[in-house]
Order: sequence, then C-alpha cells, then structure tokens
Amino acid sequence: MSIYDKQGRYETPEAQTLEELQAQQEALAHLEGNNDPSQPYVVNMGPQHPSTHGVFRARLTMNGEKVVACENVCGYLHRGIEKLCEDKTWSQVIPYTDRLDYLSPILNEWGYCMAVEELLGVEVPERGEYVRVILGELQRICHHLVYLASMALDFNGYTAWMYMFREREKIFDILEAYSGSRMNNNALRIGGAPTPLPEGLEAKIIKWLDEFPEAMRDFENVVNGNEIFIARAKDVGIIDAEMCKNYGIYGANLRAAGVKLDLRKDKPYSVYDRFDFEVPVGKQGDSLDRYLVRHEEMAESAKIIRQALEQMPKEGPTMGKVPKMIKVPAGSAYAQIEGGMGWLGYYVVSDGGMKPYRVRIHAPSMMSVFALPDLVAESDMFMQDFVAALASVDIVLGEVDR
Amino acid sequence: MFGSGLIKGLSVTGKHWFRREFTEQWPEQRPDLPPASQGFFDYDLSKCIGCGLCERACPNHVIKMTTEKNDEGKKVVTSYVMEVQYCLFCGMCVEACPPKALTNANNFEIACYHRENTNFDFATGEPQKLNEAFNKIQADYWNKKRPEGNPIGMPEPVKPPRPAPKPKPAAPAEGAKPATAPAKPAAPAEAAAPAAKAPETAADKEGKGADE
Repeated sequence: MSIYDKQGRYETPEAQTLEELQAQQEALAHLEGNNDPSQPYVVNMGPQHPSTHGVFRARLTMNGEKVVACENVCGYLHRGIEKLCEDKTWSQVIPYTDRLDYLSPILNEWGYCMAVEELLGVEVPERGEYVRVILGELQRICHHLVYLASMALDFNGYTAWMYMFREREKIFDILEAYSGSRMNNNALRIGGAPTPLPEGLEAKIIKWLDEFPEAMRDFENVVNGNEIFIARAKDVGIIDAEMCKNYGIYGANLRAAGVKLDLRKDKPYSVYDRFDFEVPVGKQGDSLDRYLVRHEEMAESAKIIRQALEQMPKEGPTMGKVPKMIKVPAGSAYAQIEGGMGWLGYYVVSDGGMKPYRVRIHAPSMMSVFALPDLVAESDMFMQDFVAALASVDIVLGEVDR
Repeated sequence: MFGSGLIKGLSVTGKHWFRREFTEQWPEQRPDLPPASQGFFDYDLSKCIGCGLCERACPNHVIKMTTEKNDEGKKVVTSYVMEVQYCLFCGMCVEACPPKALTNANNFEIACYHRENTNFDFATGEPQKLNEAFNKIQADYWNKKRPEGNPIGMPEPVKPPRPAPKPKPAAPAEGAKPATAPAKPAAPAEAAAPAAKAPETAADKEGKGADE
C-alpha cells in the first residue's frame, strides 16, 4: 500500500480486508502529522549545486522526503553593477549590462539603450530598429534554448542538453559575425545599432531559419513527448495568475498561467507592431506549461526574424544622431522590454552630466526567486519536485544578485 | 501507448548518430572566423595620432598611453600599454579610434600562464619593461631543452615515491596457503613497532605533566 495517495498522483489499491483498511488509516494519520515521530531537518541546496543554475542557495527544511519550507539565500554573485554604472560614461555602461542576464545580453542592452534614448530624445532609424529586432529575437531563442536544455538536464535528460546547445552555438556564430563576440556581445549602442548586418549574414540567418524547424521537431520528440519528463513536470510547482500578480511575475511564467500578456503585442515598442506572431499561452502554470510556452515561443521568434529580414530597408542609417561624447539632459526615464524571463526594466536618472546619476534595474527573475518560499509552503513538494519547480521558473543569478 | 515517447526520443538519437560532426578538432582544425570577430588587437604606430580617445572610451581603463612632442611639434606615442587582463573585449576602443590605428585581430589564442605577461606595450612591441626579469625566467623555462616524449614542455606531475616492495615469502613452504596470506605476517610487525613506542611516549607525557 502506498502512503502517497494524498497527492493523488499514485494509484493505491482499495483495501480488501479490515487489517488493510486499518493500516491505510494509520498511514494517513501519520502523513497528517497526528502522531509524527520524525523531526524536520535542513538541507542546503547550493550554492554549488548544479540544479540551482548558478550560485543560488536554497535552505530547505525537510520532513522526510518532503520539503516543508524554503529560505532563499542570494548575493553570491553580487558585483555591484548598479553602483559601477555610476562611474562609467553613458555608453560605457552597455558592456556592463551584458553581465546581468548573461544568457541574453543583447536584450539587456536594448532595455538600457531605450531608457537613455528616451531621455536624450533620439529617434532610432528604421533600419537600426530592424537590426535590433533580429538580434534581439535571436538572443531570445538563445536564452530559451539554454532554459529548455538546463531544465531537461535537471530531469536527467543529457541528450536534449547537447542537442539544444549545438543549436545555440549556431546562433552564436551569427551573433559573432555581427558583434565580434559570441557571448557578452556589446552589440547595440545608444541611438541604434552600430552597423548594418554585414554582407552575407542575411543569407546565413535564413539558412539557419530553414534548419531550425527540424531541430525543433527533434526537441519535441526527445523531451516533450517523453513520459518520464511529463510525469515529473506535470502538476508540479503551480504558480497561478493570482500568485504571479502578487509577486509581480511577468513574461513567460505569467503566460504559462494562462494570461495572454506580452509587451511586444500589448504595448509594442520598437517595430513589433509590424509583425504577425502569436502569443503562446499555458493552462494552469505548472512546470510543464512553463516549459511548453517557451518551446512554442522559440518558433514565434523565428517567425518574427523571418518577417524582419523581409521588411528591413536595404539602405539608410542604422544610428540616430548621437554625439560621440554623450551628455544626457537632467531628468529620469523608465524603459521596459520583454526580456528573456519577463519584463526587464531600466530606470535611469541623469543630473545632466557625462555619467548616469543612477541606474536601477528591474530584474524579472528576481521576482521568480522571491516566489519560491511561498510556492513551497503552498504545495506539497518532494525534493525532486522542488528541483523541477526551480528549473522551470527560469532564474539567472547574474541578474538577481547584480 | 505508454513508452512510445521514449522510443521516439531514441529514434532521434539514432538519427543523430549519422549526422555531420559539429565539433572542431582544435588545434588541428582551425575555425573559420568572420572578419568582425573580436580576438586580440592590431595596433599601427604609424597611423596613431595620439588623441587618447581609445583611452577614454575604455570602460575598465585598460589602455594607458604616453605621448611626447617631437622637434616638429608633432605628437608622438612613446608607449601604448594595454593591461589585457582587465579587458572586456567590448570593442569600444576600436570603434572610437578616428584613424583606425587600433583594429580587431582574429587571433584568439592569447592565453598565457602568468598575469604579468598580459600587460602588453604595443608601441615598442615588447612586454612591459617592468616585467623584463620575470619574462626572462619564463623564457628560460620555455627554451629549456626537453626530452622528446614531452614536446610541449608541460611540467610533469611529481609522483610520490612508492614504498619498497616487501620481500616475498618462500614459495614452496607456504604454497598451500591462499594468495592473500603473505600480506599478514608484515602487518603484526608494523603494528608491534608503535605499540612498543607507546609506553615510552606515555611516560614522557606524564613526566612533562609532573614537571609543569
């Protein structure tokens, strides 16, 4: 007889005899803590744990195999980037924003550049916006690939990890041809994009776009249909719309909970209003939904890239009229974009000088981390369920700790 | 059918078995890098006008240059030191350079063993003078003649000396015993030695304690 029937995930045979019925009732009473002889103990998950996606540490209070409470310990990757930015000129901040969410550096740069442009009153030329969209969406696919891959790895799916990272390397080749670096690209500038797409890169992107659907089919066959994966991810770590609202979780995690809200669609910045794409939505916001939403989002991003390549003007400037030594008028501005993990916001304050007075970063994955203790307290989790939940909320500690 | 997903996944793995290899066998196989690729830097002293814009563009203050005025009243660069250890490889300096004296190079194999060697003076083309003594030690190390079996010259790990082999017991006399038996006679002898010493040390301690 199984004692896990309270979860409803395991089938228990019906009690046939009186003795069996008594044993079942005793086990249930034991579960409810009526005569619980066990004591809670503390397990440190991280900071050097492969499943914590960086240097996150969760102090888990366990009762047997069950996680009773979770306490977040952040700050292992704190570099004081917000403070460092105050010592750099406006354009020197850009390479530092790369190091926040190191899985999607171009999206970070984009958010910062948008905030400064708003303050400067510079208009980005159309061609520059298209270059930004193409690079940004490539970066989003990159980010989601790492997310899907590392989640598969947390479920012991090493093959999927390798396949997805191979696809990511192909995107890195494209980004390297534009910006010179594979990661931490420093690809965008205040006022637009520094150069148009170099010769031959468009063809390279289109070739990759043609190959990508087949890779997506492979991911589907390897991970999405896998019974073990579904059994471990379904109904685990449910973050519903109400909880997202309370904690300020946006982006793919919110969409997985069934709310159709995407900044690119609902409050289009840049040139996103010109593209035709869908916003994938999940059902209940469990780990499986969060995975599937991101999986479908990759296909939508590929769609956007193809449209942007077709619509992009072939001639014209990519940079707006920005002086070499940027002096920003006093004031403050806030810019928000749809980042890899959610709404990425930059609040920039200027005192009229060469350097920012204050740069405040609203990190989307920080909200997901803060929701973990509540998530554990509300749901009845095993240790492996906690790993599944942590992998699926998508955290990058470079951004959380800053 | 339960398990069909697993079989599907395995079929994908089988398909990938016959795929083209994606990895490059460096260093035999060199990557075909795009021209924009940011590796090390190329610096052309004849083009440089010594304006110092690269110095100011750098977020980490990696570049330090000194200039002099020559007889004709022209600026001449005397030293152009890059502390590459602090470099982000963001490319801001390359972008800021008006006469394109500083450019990207595709050379990415710039790792070295010591931090001091990352300081590089482009104007003289030599590592910085401060590090001369240190570099000499390094050069001596690298130029030393090596045995042929170790062409790269990596220092070999030092192996701890093994204990001397124990004398084999006479084979015919103890042949009937199992193979593990010969190890046993040695053990009591080793154990006996500390046991013999133990009473002495105990006595010493007692003596010291009494003295104090």
